Amino acid sequence: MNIAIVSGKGGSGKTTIAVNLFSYLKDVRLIDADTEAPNDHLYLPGEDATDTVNKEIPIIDQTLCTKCHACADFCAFNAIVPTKTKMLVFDDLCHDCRGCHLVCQEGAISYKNHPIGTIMTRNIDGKPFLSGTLSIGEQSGNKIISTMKETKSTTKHTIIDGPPGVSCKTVETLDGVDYVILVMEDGLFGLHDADMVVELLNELKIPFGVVLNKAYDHVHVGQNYIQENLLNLLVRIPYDETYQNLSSKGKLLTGEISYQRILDTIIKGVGII
Amino acid sequence: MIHELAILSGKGGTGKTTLALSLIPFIEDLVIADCDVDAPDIHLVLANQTINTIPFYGIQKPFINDNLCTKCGLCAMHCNYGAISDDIIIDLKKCEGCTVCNIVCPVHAISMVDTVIGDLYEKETPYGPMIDARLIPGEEASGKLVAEVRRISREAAKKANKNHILIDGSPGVGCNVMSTITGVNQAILVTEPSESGFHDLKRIIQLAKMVSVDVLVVVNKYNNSIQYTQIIEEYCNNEGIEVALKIPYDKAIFHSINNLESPSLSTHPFFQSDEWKQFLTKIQVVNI
Ligand code: SF4
Ligand code: SF4
Repeated sequence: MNIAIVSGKGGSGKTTIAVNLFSYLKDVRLIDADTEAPNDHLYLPGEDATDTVNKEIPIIDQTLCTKCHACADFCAFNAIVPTKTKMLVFDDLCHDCRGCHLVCQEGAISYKNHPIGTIMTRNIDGKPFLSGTLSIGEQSGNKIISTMKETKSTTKHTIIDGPPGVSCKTVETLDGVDYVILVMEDGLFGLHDADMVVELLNELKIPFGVVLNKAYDHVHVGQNYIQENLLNLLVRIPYDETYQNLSSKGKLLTGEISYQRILDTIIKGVGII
Repeated sequence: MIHELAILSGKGGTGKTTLALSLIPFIEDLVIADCDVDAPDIHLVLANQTINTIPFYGIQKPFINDNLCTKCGLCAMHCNYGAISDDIIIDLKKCEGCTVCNIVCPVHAISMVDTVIGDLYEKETPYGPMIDARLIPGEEASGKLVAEVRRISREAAKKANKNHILIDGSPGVGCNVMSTITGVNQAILVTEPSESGFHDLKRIIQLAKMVSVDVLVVVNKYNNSIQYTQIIEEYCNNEGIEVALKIPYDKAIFHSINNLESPSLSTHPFFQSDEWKQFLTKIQVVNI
């Protein structure tokens, strides 16, 4: 079973749920797909093996280039800019579409690898853990996410910790998953941002359940939203200072009896067997 | 000259928007730009009226004329994003709009059509005009939508003769954030005292350096971990960056947001303190 953990708002507690669920379950692997702010590895120390992820960017042979602009006119991402003397390639803007060489009549364009980030692999108690990091200055970690998801796995389950929000990187994360755990932080912003994710999940027709996180006793915004929209509430996790303190130090919560019960409830609700 | 101040954080949920809402009442001559296009929240609190809605066409997407298509499969072979299936159905959510399929199709069955990726809104708030946007969930090219919010904000500032733009950004360091931070006059980086807060702060500092933007750091909920606050302060010190404000954790701040109130306008004691006043003097858009 492939399970993605996502949230509309950043800081909702995705990472905490992801790393603890991973540690608690057997026969599971974890992918940290929040490549712009990958934090799962802080909770799961171990030896790393690191691979580079590349995109292919054009190199233009200036001796063949007739400065016809065809490539610059074609590039939908403005990664090639014509100047009087040469075609300038902006490496970070290139989206790896491999289209420009198709329009170049002179055969002046070939491609070279350009690193966009890394995938770190760790073995945590015999369970595989992959973490993707987008290099600073790069635009999109989508290829890092898809590369991690394509790596072979023999485990029964995969948990994918996704990025916050509803942009294309979330779509990449959700591609091919069986179930989504939507972590919603209680409060006005939390529910408003979660609402955008609900819209996306309904459109993609992926079944999901909600974890209402950092819930305060006298705040009913989140609870009301879930009821009004007839969403499936997996569990309500109260705001708890012990949890916050341990998590902020990069510690797991699987030793807390109360948290084990929370995890058990999630596992049952999702139907992980 | 128009002065742009961006509020950012590598990690989400550190209190960017809360800080923006607290600052807004203190800035005169202001246009607000909410660039967090996949989670825009400022408008929820500043309950403003929408004056104008502008659809934003950020991308061209392919449409296949089934009468012409011979199912030769060339387009699917060339699409580097796996957006076209073997039976030549386009998954528009995966499409990045590169137009490669359009040029490789030998029978010209594919046409590229301008596609709306989100809406921009011109709004009015008690503190001045505001521009925000909402990405259609799952759409590509959110960075372009951010750039458009900034462009229209600058236009609005010129039109209304305003000199300051306050920009609320999104978490992360990718295309949205790069569109948000590039070319601003100053950026405030909001972090929290935790292992992940610190880790993500280092990444956004690196990005700010790369694009040569001056930054100030704000540690939110600093009393949740004095130890991590010190680690962050030491790190910033070494980097030559000022930690300009430390905000204590207080449930009242969270509640004022739920009550649709700017935290700094509530009777919350922190916003009467000298620390807060001193912080305001360090922000270039505040006239004191
Ligand atoms: S490969 Fe595509 S995105 Fe990259 S420079 Fe060429 S046309 Fe532009
Ligand atoms: S426009 Fe580019 S990304 Fe979209 S379907 Fe065509 S080849 Fe694929």
